[in-house]
Amino acid sequence: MSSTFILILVVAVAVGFDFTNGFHDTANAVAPTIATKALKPRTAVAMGSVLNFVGAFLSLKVAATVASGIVQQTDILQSRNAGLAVVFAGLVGAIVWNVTTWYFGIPSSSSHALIGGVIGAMMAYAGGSAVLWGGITSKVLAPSIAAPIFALVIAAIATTLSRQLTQKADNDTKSLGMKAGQIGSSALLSIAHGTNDAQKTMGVITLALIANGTIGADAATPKWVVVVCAAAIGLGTFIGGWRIIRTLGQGFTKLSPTQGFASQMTSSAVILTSSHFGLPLSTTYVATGSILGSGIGTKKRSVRWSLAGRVALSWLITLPATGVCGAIAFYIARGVGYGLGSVLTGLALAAYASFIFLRSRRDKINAANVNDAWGAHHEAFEPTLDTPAGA
Amino acid sequence: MATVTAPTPLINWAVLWKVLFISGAFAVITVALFTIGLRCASQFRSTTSSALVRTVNLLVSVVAFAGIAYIAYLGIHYILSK
Repeated sequence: MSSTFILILVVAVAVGFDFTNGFHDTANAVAPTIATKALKPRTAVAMGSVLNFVGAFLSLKVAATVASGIVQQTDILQSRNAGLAVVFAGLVGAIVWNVTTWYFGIPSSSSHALIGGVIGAMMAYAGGSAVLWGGITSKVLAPSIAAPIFALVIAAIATTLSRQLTQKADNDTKSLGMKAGQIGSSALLSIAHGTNDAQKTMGVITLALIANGTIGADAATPKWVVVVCAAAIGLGTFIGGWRIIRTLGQGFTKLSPTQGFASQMTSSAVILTSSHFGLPLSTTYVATGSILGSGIGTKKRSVRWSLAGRVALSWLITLPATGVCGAIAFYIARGVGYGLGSVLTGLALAAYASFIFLRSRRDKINAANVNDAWGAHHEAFEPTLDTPAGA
Repeated sequence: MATVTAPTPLINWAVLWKVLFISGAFAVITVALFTIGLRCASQFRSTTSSALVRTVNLLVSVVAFAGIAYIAYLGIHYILSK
C-alpha cells in the first residue's frame, strides 16, 4: 500500500485523538462551573466548545515545535512508511488510554498519553537511543510532578483567603458574584485549553505530512489542518466527557462557588504562567490539583484522598501504559506490513472504542445526572463500585 | 585551552519557582480583589450602614473590580499575542 494511504489513516486517527482530547478534557475548564450550578451543564459545555474552537486558531507556535524535545526527528524521517507508522501507533496508544480513562472517569493527561504513545512506538522502531530522555525529564516528568502540587498550594491559599474575606458578606451576593467569576475564569481556561491542546494534534499531522514528503520540513501548518483540528476538539468538547466532569466536580470535594472560583483562577494562572515560560504543563493535572487545593482551603478540609491517590496512581502509569500500547501497535503494523498492519490496528482500535462506548451505556452519565451525589453511580475505582447508594 | 561547559540541568528549578511565585501571586491577588469587591458590594447594599460607609464600600468595590477587569484584559491580551 502507498504511503499516501497510510498518511490518510494517520490524519483520520489524529483527528480521532483530537476529538477524544476534547471530550476527555472538557472537565478541566467546566467541571467546577457545573458542580456549583454557575451554568447549566449543557450551557457550560457549549461555551467550552466554542471557546476551544476559537482558541485553536489563536497560535501555531506549539504546533510548529511539537515532539521536537521528545524523539529524534531524524530517525522518524529515515523511512517514509515507518515514520508514519510510528506517529500512527503513538496516536493509537493515546486513544486507547483516553477512552479507557474516560470510561472509569479518571482525569488523566491527553498530552502525556500522546507523548507516551509516540515514545513507545519510537522505541519499538529505533530503540531507546532515539528517545530524548533528557527532554522527557525536563519537559514532561518534572512539570508533571510540580504542576498539581503548585496548583494545590495556590488554590488552598486562595480559597482560605477568599473564605476569610467573605465571612461578613451576605450569602446571596457572595454566591451570585462567585458564580459570575467562575463563568469568566472558565471561559479563560477554555480558550487556553483550545490554544494549547488542539495544536498538539496539528503538530502531529504536520509531522506526518513532512514524513510523507507532502510538505517541506520547514513548512507551516496547512490551514485545513488548523480548521479540522479546531473543529474536532470543539466537537469533542461539546459531546462532554460527563464521567470526568463528575469526578472533578463531585468526586474530590463538595465544591462551593467560592472554591470553584478560586480553583479555576488558580488553574488559569498556573497554565498561562507556565505557558509563558515554555513549561508544557498538563491542564488536567493543574485542574485536579486546584480542585484538591480548594477542598483543603475549606473549614472542614474535606477531600476524598482515597480517590486522589487512585488518580495519582493512574498518572504514574500513563507514560508506561501508553508506551506499551504504542509499541504493540507499531509491532503489529510492522509485522503485517505497514499499510495492512495500520488498517488492522485501526479496525481493532475502532472495535475497542465501540466496546467501551457500549459498556458505558450501562451506567450512563449525562447532563441530567452529572451532579448526582457522589456514590450514586459506579464511580471511578471507588470501594462503593458494587454498592448502590444508601445500601 | 578547551572550555568546559556545565551540562544542562534535567530539572530547571529556577523556572519552576518562577512559575510557582508568579502564578501564585496572580491567582491570589485576583481572588483577593474579587472577594474584596464582592464583600464591599455586599456592604454597600446593606441599608443599615451610614452614607459615608456605603460610599467608601462602593468606591473600594469599583476599584477592586477595575483591577479584576485589568487582570482579565492582561490574560486575554497574553493569549491573543502568543
